Amino acid sequence: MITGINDEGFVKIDKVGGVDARVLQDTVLVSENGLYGTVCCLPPHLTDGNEDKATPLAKTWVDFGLPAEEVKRQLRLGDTLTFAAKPQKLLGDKITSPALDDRCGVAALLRAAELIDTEAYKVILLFSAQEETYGTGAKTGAFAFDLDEAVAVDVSFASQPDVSGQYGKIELGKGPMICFSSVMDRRMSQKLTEVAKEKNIPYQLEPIAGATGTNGDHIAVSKSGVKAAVVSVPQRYMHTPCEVISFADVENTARLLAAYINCGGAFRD
Amino acid sequence: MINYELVHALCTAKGISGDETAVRSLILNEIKDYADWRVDALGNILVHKKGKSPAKARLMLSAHMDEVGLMVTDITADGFLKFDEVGGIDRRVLPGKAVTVGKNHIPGVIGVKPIHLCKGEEAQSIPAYSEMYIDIGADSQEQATEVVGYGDSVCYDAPFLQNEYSLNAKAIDDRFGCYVMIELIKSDLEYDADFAFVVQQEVKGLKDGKYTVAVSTQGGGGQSKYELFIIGDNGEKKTAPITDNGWNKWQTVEIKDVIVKNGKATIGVEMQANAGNWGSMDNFEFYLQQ
Repeated sequence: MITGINDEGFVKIDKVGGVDARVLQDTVLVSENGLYGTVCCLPPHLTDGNEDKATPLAKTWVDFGLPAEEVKRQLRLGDTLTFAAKPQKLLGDKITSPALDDRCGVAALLRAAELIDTEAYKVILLFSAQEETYGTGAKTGAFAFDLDEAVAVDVSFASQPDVSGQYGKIELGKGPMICFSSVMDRRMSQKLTEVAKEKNIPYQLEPIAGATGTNGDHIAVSKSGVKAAVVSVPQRYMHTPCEVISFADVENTARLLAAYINCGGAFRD
Repeated sequence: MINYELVHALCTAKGISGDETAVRSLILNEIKDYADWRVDALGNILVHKKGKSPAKARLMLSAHMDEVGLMVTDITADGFLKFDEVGGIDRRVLPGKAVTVGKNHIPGVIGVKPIHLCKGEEAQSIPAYSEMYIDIGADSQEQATEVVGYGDSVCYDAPFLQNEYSLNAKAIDDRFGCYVMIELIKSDLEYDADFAFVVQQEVKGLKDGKYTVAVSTQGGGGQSKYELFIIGDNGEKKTAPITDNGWNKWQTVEIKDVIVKNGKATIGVEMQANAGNWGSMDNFEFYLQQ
């Protein structure tokens, strides 16, 4: 978000959500009204010797390549900027783009809607706002209905060279991640794995001891409580302009959601 | 009027140091009908443009064709590409960037550990080259090596953006210089002039020690300045004068005992030539003394 414009026309910014300061240097951002700006960086010839550390946001400026009066005419404090990087196909069925977190979840919901062929549930799709800040969209969105169950669809961490431990075993293209968490309903998580096995949908398990860090946490405590689960598309480089996912995982996430709904879910009996 | 279409083509052409072919072809295609030209052993384009009259003094304009970038140094078992820098790059600009790899311009991204999983200082620290990698979407070394290879050039995949006041692109350094020279070559000049579209090479990753740099030359001599030079990592420049004395009278000029620390040195030949001066260079050598 634009928080200041100085007399030379350089623009001061602060982050909205968990933006990674390490990926901002020399990155192209675009404003709501289509102006492109580059995050300022030092020419290496004039380096300040701090190459090992990301420039803190407090010292980060954006250059729109316009005279100060033009910048002030076309941009206002509070205007928002997004990563300008374009979606790009990689090898196999992988793609890279900013905001795959969680637009690929949006895609999975839309695709699931095509695959649902039951009236066992009244299905509500919630495309929520403000997840990246305080999950406020999901709070009011869930409150609007008397829900029996909810599945939050998000992205989660996949293996990459600098990630080890439990997420070091999650692979792109090996299916959606089904979360087991103390906040989530265990029977739903269990049923999701059973449905996946039955329909030959690949899946991976994501045990999270505490809160999931997704909308699922907020929906589960809506009103007097909602049974909830979290299904995630595996992703690399979350919150950068170059997030990477596999298409197959989005399709399989949609298939898993539809299969769960079509069979009547975990509490049919 | 600036021909932005040509500036766009020049800036988006991929040509890191030592791999300037695409840029060279683009420039030759533009200038070939307007002047005499040749390409030397290093890949420089040397152009002589006749003006309306010969000049008393000989002027050379020079711009470099190469840009900074990266080179693939290893491919991991999981199909990620390891790399090192070609030319001077501030590592802070690399995490999260889109790149293209090799002759087929395979798209890739420079990955970074998700901020959510970083602990303490890690969330602000820029990984060393040895820790960084490019993701082209390969699942294995085998799949990666079908489309990319060791030594492949890596270029920024940056947009070309312009507004009424400014231009934002990769490799403006120094393709805009190349553009200015192309326009001059295409125009009618008052006097004869020479143009050099040059390649540059920055040598890196050297073992510490004492090195010798040498070059063989022949020619008519008479240049007002003609010297072999080396710039070490500390910025100190050592030079050795070159004096040619005739056709095919090859001689070797060398600088010995060049101390290289931190693995980096820049070598080259600098010349200020007068009208009618001629000559050539060959057999550039740079080696660690035993």
